[in-house]
Amino acid sequence: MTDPEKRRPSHNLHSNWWLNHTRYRQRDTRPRPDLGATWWLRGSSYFFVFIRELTSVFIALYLILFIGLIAALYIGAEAYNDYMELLWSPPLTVIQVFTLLFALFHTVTWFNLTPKAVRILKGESPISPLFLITPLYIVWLGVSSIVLWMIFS
Amino acid sequence: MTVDTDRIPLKISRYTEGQTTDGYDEYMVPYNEDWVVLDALNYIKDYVDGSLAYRWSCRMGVCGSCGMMINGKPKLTCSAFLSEYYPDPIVVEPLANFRVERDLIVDMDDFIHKLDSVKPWLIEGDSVPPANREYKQTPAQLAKYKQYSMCINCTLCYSACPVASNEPEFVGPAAIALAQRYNLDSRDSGKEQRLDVLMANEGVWDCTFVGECSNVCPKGVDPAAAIQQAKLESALAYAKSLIMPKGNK
Amino acid sequence: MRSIKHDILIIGGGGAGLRAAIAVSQENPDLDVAVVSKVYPMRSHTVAAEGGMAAVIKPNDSFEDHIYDTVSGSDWLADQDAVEFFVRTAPSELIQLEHWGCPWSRESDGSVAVRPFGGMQIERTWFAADKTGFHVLHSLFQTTLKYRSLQRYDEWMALRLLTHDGRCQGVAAMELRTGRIVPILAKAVIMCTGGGGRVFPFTTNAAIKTGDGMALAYRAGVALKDMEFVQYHPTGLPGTGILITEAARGEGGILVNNKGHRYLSDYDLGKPLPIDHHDHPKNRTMELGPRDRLSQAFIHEQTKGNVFEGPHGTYVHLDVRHLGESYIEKKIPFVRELSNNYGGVDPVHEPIPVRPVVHYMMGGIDTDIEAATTLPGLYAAGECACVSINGANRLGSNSLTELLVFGAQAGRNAAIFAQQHGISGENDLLSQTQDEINRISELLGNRAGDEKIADLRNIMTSALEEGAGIYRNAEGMQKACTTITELRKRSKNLKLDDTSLSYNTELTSAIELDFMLDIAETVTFSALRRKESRGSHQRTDFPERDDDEFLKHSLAYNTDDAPRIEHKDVVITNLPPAKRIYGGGK
Repeated sequence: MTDPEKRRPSHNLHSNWWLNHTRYRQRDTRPRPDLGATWWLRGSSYFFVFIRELTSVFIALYLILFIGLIAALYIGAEAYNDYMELLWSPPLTVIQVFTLLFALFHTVTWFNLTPKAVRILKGESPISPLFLITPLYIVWLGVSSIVLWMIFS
Repeated sequence: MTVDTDRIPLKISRYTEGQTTDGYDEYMVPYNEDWVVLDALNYIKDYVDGSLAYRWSCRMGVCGSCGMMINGKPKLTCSAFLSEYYPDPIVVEPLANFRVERDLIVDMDDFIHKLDSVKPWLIEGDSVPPANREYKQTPAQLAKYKQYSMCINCTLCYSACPVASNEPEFVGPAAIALAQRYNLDSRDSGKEQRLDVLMANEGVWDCTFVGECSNVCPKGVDPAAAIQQAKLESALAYAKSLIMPKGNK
Repeated sequence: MRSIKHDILIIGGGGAGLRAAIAVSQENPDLDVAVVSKVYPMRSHTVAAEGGMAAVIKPNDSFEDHIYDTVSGSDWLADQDAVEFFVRTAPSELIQLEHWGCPWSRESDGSVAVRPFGGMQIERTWFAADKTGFHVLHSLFQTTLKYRSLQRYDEWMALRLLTHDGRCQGVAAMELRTGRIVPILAKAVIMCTGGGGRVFPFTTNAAIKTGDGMALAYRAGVALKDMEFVQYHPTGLPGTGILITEAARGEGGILVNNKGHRYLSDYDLGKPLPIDHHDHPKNRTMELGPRDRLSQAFIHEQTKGNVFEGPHGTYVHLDVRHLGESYIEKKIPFVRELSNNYGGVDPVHEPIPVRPVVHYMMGGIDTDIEAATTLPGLYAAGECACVSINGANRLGSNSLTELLVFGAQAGRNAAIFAQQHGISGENDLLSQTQDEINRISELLGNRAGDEKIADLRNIMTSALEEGAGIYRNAEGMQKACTTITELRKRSKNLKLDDTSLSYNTELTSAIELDFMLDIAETVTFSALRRKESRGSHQRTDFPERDDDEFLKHSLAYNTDDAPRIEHKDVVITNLPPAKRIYGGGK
């Protein structure tokens, strides 16, 4: 049998070309109802995804603050102290608390989604998602403990 | 049969070519707790308004024809029981994110093209068994792709997907799940050919992992998982192409 | 008027049609093929087949056994040369499908698994859990996507065969999206439109199964063969008629009446083995008897008052609880899904209510072993055709195989025919199309009509259930014949609410009703003429099989009046007619 792929003729289907043409021409006049800009208000599952995506805005904001911190450190001790004072100001503290909460939310949701992206079978059935999620939490807690130990010791 | 006074209202979206305004018609349908929304539509068509147009066939959830938006959620009307909604009114609209052809019928061409684009057929490798012998495939190898082979092409997942809503070119959940169905089949050797489509701009990377496609899937296919796995494979393939530009393609 | 031209035209995009399309390309890749289907191909009713597909593959099996099972199952009405061809071709067709990616269920060593099925001596039914038809159809459809010489006309409805010069040369078809009617001309036409179970009120068949292709061929002068043989599947859900696959019994499920008794043992189907017996379920015995006998047993139980009464009529219990949850989930998950959704019971914990339901038409377009009809250039395959390998009763899991074997056969032979013939008399073909356009326009524009489609359809389906059900008699059938003749007249006076052209599904329903009346007419008139009981055709006034008079196929020809019924000999080769014995021994 010849490979059908190799016999692929052009889209112009000989004498019947007009048929496809008319179908195509008619297409764009019809309405296409979509989910709209407020799709994320269409139910809790959409809403949580929206929040999850929104977290990145706060994390980006925090990164800007963090880059500022490194810049201040580079300039000198006085600039660093001024900058730290700024970070402790009430509005920025609020932003940082929010960022921490969002980061936690983001982390937890992504950890819980990991079994979706990685599917490991044992025989014919998938292994329990806990096998994939638990190690992530263990590593996370481990690394966090080390960081905390470095800061406070 | 319940008593005659027991009825449930259906508000149904209507459209005929050329019509510019949104139109809904309301019908009162006898309430029967065994009935699905499709039964109500058939009742309307047979006894109230013969001009109502919609697709249906098997009425047992396997042909994939009768997907519609029911109270804003994509569902197979043959599996949505009136009792889930009674006595509240039921709003029936055509599947979201598709062009409407007529009443509850949408244009499927776009989906068929997307399906075709991922080469959803078995691409033979070097070791094809002779014509009188089957490929050996253990139950464990079958289990790897079986779930993704259960897609009935009902396209509910496209209607649930905000990415498909905003980005009409997105290949979409069902098509990617089918690509993965063949990629994971031990008999198939076409993974690299399909990766070209999956890695393109409108491929897997458009997906922001909303996961609603899997929530609405009536057959438990879990296309969201298929897409994330394809992302992983696509990233690995990209990394590999950086390290070994000429690879063994 | 512009015509569309192709080398080969296939009407119907289900299993047989898609297999035929691929077969044409395999035979000659230069031929261009069109597939006209009134639904997207993956919606075709092949999708709903559940249990499996028979072919001899295991070392303990033999062609002879499969032939014997099929012929005895048919109550000797099958053509034995065709059965032999079918059985011998089956394995290579199923392996071909495996090479195309069909996800067959497997043994632990990786070879395909088989399960027992009704009326078969040996387990030979290949399966993909209990969604075999679904996987077969999607595998075929997806495989056709790689053949770029194939042009699909999805959602186009065939209205009339176009003939000239004594040859079938195309079809007048309506594009449902726009409502325009176009002549699609071809050198050969293959009909693969499936059965017409929708002529009955209580059926497993999908809405689309209105016998279109049978009616088209009938109107073009081809006989419809053995139309009186309508299969009742013994296990449908009451109310909806949704099928609970025979695989449920193949895996060990039992049928029980309201006394808790496995009643099949009272109907010459053998002795029940305990459900934990290593030999249960025993092939060709009890629950694994043929469908006609099981459905008939239900009627006797009903007469005796041994059935349950429910809101949707009487029923018995199909009990699979002893198989256990994990086994049910692995082998018959769809049975569980359907019972849960539509029967309101979880088969893991409760028995499933079931009753006989119209499932399949053994009869159809008169074809020969080459899948050719008597009209040159017209081929047919699948349920719409009658070769006949199914005779008076089809065995479960033979029909999916038939789609492939005779779909491929039709494709190959049509390809050969198309290479030897051209399209002739185009003006005549176009004027036939114009006639059809006029006819449909008249139907659409008939403001004076006062008949509702649904009313006529309901009268028709009830007439068939009452007159041509599991047990029949002259009086009932005569009454059905009269009703159908009356409906024919009334159907000329339909009133449509929908006057638009795009997706006028009311118009398509009217056209389908017209097709169904043809089918109904051939069923009732053929049945009336067969004065014997054979397979699924059981007459209380002629309870015995009569080989002297009726070891013959019925042929129904279209006339302006009632159909003309003729008869044709059955092909007998190695298996002389004998008594059908189930429940042990041959």
